[in-house]
Amino acid sequence: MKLRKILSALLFVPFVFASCENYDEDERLKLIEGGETTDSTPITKEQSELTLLLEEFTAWNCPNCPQGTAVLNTIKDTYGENVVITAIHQGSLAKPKGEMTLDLRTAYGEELGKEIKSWPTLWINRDVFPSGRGEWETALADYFATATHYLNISLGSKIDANGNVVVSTEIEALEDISSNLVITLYMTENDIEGKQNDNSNIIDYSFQHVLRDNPIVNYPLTMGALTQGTKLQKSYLLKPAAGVNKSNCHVVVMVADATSGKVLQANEIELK
Amino acid sequence: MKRIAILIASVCFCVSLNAQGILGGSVSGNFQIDMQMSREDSVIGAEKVNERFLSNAFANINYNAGDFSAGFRFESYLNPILGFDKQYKGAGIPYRWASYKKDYLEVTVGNYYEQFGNGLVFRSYEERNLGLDNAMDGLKLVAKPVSGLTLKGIIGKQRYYWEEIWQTDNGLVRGLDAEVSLNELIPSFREKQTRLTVGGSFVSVYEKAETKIVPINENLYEMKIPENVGAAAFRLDFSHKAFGLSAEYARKGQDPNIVNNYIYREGEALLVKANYSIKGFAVSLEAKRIDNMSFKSKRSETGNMLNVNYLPAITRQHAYSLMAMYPYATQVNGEMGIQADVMYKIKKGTWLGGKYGTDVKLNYSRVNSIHQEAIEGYELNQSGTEGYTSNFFKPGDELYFQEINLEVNKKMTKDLKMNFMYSHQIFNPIAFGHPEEEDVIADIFVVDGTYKINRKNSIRGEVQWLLTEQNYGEWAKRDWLQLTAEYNFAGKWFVALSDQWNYGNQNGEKVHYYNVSLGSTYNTTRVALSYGKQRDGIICIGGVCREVPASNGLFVTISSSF
Repeated sequence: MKLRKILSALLFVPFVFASCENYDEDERLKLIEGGETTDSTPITKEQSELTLLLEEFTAWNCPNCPQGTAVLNTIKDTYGENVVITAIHQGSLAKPKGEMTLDLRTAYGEELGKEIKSWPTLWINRDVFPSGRGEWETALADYFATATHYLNISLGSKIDANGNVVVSTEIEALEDISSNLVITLYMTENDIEGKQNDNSNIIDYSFQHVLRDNPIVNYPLTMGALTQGTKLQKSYLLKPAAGVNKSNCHVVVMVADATSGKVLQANEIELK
Repeated sequence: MKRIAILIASVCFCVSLNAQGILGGSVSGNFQIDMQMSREDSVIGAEKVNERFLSNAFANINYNAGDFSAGFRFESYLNPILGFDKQYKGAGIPYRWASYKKDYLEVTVGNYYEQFGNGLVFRSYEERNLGLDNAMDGLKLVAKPVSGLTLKGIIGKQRYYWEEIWQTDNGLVRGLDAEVSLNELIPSFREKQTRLTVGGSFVSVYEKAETKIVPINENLYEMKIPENVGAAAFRLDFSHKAFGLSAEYARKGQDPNIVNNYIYREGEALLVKANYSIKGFAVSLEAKRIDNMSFKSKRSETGNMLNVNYLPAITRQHAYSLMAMYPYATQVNGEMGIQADVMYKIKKGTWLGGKYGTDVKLNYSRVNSIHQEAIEGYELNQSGTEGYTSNFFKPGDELYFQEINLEVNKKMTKDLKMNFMYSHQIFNPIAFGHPEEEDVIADIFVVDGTYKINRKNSIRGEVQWLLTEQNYGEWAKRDWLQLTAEYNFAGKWFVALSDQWNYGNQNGEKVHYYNVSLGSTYNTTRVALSYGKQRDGIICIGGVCREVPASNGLFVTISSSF
């Protein structure tokens, strides 16, 4: 009887001891390709309005995802330059299989969406996560109605002699911002031909706004308060992932609150 | 219709409770409110209080019926009194719980406080004077399957001011503790004078990893942050007749966080205490070593909140205000220290002992940094690396705190008691956030006497004198003298006058921080009112500290219990 009591009380010991993780020295750090650069290029795309980042988690083998994309196309028609769309191919349904041999997943996208359990899913400014695609338009309208326009991100881009992408940014604070800020840059690619499960039919498909690898993530932009009217000018070097067709690419740039991760403003520029 | 349904459900619930004998219990509780009015005073640095009136209050209501108990605590900070974090502003019930015992199991749901061993890997507690409350919200199980064996299991999240913790990404805390008392477990050992208790704990915090980028040698790297951080500790308590020994060793897995500058080095802590005590004489020795042991349930948190563990201070905690002017704050990133206490009672009838005997206490404590050496090719404590190497037994060069103090407590006559204290302190200003300044070296003297006029009336006088050469302005203003007179009358009233005089200040006015206080205690109800100036400073309790800003005005405390 005593032994049974002790054993029953100790049953959950293994669960607790399994809850610990350490990394060996060679696992701890991942070199970031690119980063801030002294090279620069003229600003060609100026910004003056609030622009939101819409990140859609999608997958080729997700039968409802083309419907999500259709909603996003409607949104783009309505809001134009005031929204930046990224399609993040992520999760088990994005894994190549059968006719679909193209792998559109990225390490960054997998990390970003590791807790996502259903597709398509939309993130608005990494702040609001409307539950179903039927609510995306309403949620976006509500967000626009209440969001603060904290800053503008004006951009310029070029491809350097080594085939790398140089992005010059000018961040202008429109409000006093007390939080530390970080900047994230990544490339998206249009017109990638592949297969898509559309309502259980596998069809030929042209993927748009597809997130590509080698982003610059949460790079420190400010430490301490940023006062209204301040302009920050910085340039960054992005190393395009293998297989990317640069002539079909945009660079998406977002500035976020370093603590909450909430995106304050986004912009994108076509690579030329 | 809805109201009727609720009423019927309530009646059924009450009948059900009554059937189990739960309604035949008792209710107890306590209440306290602190109220403050402070006006602007540029001389002492007291800031204007826009609200004019500030208050902190709480009330605990507990219900107990046999093996069942439940309760809640109401708190209000309207608005928080000076020195308390503004995030406390508001009112509500942050603490509610229910618990029952059945067979060998005790189950607690809701909020709870708990500690494993000395707290090196887990301590959930409240320290109201510090504005610290890391109450758990979740589930706690305590099992005593056989006599001498206690198992504890906890899971939950920690309180963070008024945040809806289940809506935040703050970490989830899980833990297990086992303690075996060999004297209780083995029947033949029960009457032995040698007693041994051993225990072990394991605690793990899950917090979603964020992206952390660090520059190392002109390159940028993305750090892989462990989402599950574990810590384990082993302890023993041994005693044989007058001798006692207790020790606890804790080790924490990789936990890059803002406090340790995002290094991967594993943490460790060792606490050893030995004591010997016979009638009229006691000696105790303590040693402690801490290395990278900040353990919070949110890796970006820097304040006193969300501490998962507790690292006790091994310096004497003083009640006299000038003795506590330069208090020691635990350095969670690394410290090693010792403390020795000797207590001796000089016998009655001797020359020094006099008619009633004399108590003498000698205390010495010293805390240094730990030895640290940079990893080859990196700066010391470089983010994204192991941080440093350290020789376990070698202290660092930096002295954080040292004190030697002597206290003599003597009853001079039937009605007169005297207390004499002297303390020599060396204080490293790193604790006040001024590592650039040289150490403060202070000598403090206290004479405290209480004369009992009759059974219900007494008077008390106190002189405190602090001497130091250091004069850095805001927080170190050279010499101080404090005089206090207190009259306790009618068995329940007191009135006191005190003046803390910064007569040695060389950077500003030689301010008199006068204070008048009046109060009464009637059964369990206590009311105290004070008016005067309060200097800015730091209070530390158990090595955990809070800044106290200057104030000038009225302070009222009312407390009661039932």
